[in-house]
Amino acid sequence: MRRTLAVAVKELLQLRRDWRVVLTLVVLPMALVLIYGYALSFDVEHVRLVIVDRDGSRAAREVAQAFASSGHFDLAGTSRDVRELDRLFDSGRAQAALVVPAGYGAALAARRPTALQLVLDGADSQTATTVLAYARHIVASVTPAVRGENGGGPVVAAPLVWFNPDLASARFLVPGLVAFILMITAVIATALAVVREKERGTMESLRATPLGALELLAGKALPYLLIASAAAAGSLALAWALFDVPVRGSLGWLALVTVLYLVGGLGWGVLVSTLADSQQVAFQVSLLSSMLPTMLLSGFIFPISSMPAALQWISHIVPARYYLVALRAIVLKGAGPEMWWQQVVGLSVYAAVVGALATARTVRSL
Amino acid sequence: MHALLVILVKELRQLRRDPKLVPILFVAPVFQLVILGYAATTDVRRVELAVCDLDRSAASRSLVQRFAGSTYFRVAAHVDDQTRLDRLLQDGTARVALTIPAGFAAERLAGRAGTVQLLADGSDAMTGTAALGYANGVLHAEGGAGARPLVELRPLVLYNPDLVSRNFMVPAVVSLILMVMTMMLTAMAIVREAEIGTLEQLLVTPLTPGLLILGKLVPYALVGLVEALSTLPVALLWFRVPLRGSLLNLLVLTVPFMLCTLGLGLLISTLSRTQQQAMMLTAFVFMMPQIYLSGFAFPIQNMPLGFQFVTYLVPLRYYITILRGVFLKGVGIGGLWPEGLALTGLGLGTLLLARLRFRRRLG
Repeated sequence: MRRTLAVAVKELLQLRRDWRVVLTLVVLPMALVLIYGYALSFDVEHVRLVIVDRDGSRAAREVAQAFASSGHFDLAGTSRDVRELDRLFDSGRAQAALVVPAGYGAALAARRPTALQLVLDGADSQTATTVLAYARHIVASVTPAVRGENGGGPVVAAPLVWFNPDLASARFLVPGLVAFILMITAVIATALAVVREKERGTMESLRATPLGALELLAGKALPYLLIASAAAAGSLALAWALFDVPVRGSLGWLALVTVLYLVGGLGWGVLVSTLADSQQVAFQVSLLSSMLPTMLLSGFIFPISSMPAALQWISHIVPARYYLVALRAIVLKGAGPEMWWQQVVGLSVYAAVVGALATARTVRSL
Repeated sequence: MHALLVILVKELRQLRRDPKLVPILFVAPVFQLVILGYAATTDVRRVELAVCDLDRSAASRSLVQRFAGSTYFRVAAHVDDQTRLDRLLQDGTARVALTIPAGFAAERLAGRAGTVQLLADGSDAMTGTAALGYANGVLHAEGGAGARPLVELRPLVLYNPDLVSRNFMVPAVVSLILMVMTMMLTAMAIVREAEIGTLEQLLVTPLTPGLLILGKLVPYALVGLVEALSTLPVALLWFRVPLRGSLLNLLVLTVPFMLCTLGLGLLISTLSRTQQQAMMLTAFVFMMPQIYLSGFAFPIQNMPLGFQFVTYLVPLRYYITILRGVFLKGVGIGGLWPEGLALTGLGLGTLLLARLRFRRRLG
């Protein structure tokens, strides 16, 4: 224990010499949460819509008006010719086009069934799906309906959304962003810790001391745990203050889960550092293994339940997966530990395995 | 020319010397694309549904059956008591809960609307929104010929008729991997020599700084091109993303993009004093904006106006437009020259900056 502290003090002294690193590790995560919290959103707005009105009747203008004033669409142009659409879509100036066929107004007046066409740019499938849902809603609300012939009333839903009643994407994305940024901070902080000593040749001098492998690694990681915890506290405070991310659960649990997550991230950085022979390799491996998986495999952006089964298994080795579930449960749902203890188990197992591997690796190379 | 060749050979030898670097450079991209190509799907499928059927009639069972039979939902739990739904939503067993009240069948038989309650977990706003939309679709289908609208909306989806999100995401993942790999390599290029102390030795050789930078750039550009060529078959043959445009156009437009990523890497390398600093700069200041502000996952049009202007400085933004244009829309250079031009401009600009920084460092 005393030796671990001695290593920690040595690291701190070294860190003080390069205070820019400390500043980067604490301030940058907060700045990033601030910037991207504002920038990112899944809410689909300002879709560039072109209206092709080949009818010109009052009913046609009504439907066009309903689209234009719905708040989801920006009117990018009107046209009378469908052939013009190709060019507009190829150049990306239009994302959706509403085509009102000739005879639309007359059909409506005679109560004959008719159709509107919505042309969509399917290259962005996500936006297209959402736009289609909006359009269906608009059309259903401005055009008349007829009663069906067969018996039985319709089935309607009374939807009720919990935890985030207005489905604001910030409340969902900002916790994910915090998890992503913290992971990278933690891994980067320690990824070069051991390999740098190897590259500079000071590993030899450390070897000559009576330090055990675990003592050495723990001592190296300890100062960074303090720094990363400060960054985590700052980022979560920002999320709460600026983005209306409530903290409905207990702060104590939140701190515990966050520290556990950071230990896992720091441990991974140390493991990479013991595996690599040069800082260049450590850098590549640590970023590749933390940045893309944390973004793509954790449920931060892409839902895990939609992935193929094999990939859902792989996602179990991504610690952010566990942290995100626990984080969202604590801050958004106010759930107690009985709801997310499995995530704590997952995080602990990850930290233990990574720590054991790093220690074993260091013993061998010593 | 001879001097350039010499430094090229030196760089390539150095790359080969680290036995762990070679597999990272050539195997990791393909491996990553295979995994991440599957992960990057925004299709919402198999949403966990909890059912509380208080009606227990043929009509209510038929409705539950319709939910279970759709690809959008997976019945995760049946409960008899509505209060138990709270817990299921809280611990994440279910993300949507359907309650069918007693008297549902009777209401419908009488020709009135049968109301069911849908509880959705809003903490995952994206899945929540999509799931509510799908649920309404299922209810509408079950309601059958209840009230039929006079006007039907017929969608016509261009470029990607089945709305497969993979076609949209895989090209973007290719560009992401390409960027990450090339930028990280060059970010270390100069600062490493400086830290080890070999930069001094290079400077006393008759090489000019321009040649030195060029010599650092070309080998990594080659590595990047090989990576691009090795990930393309994965996208085309494994994920079956359609390639509607020409492969040649794609490769020609890849060159200016590499100019940008390599230039940015070099700039980082001249900006930082230690490899640790280079790593932080790369990860936080140069890579995250590329990922988040490029339109890869988050539509640019949703961003506040100020950020939309910033995205014009992000090379990946243009390259993703190029990739999606060539792959899905079959657009040629004729339609994509503005993007190509922007990339060339940005690339030359960053290289010039790197060159200036390099000289100041020497002075």
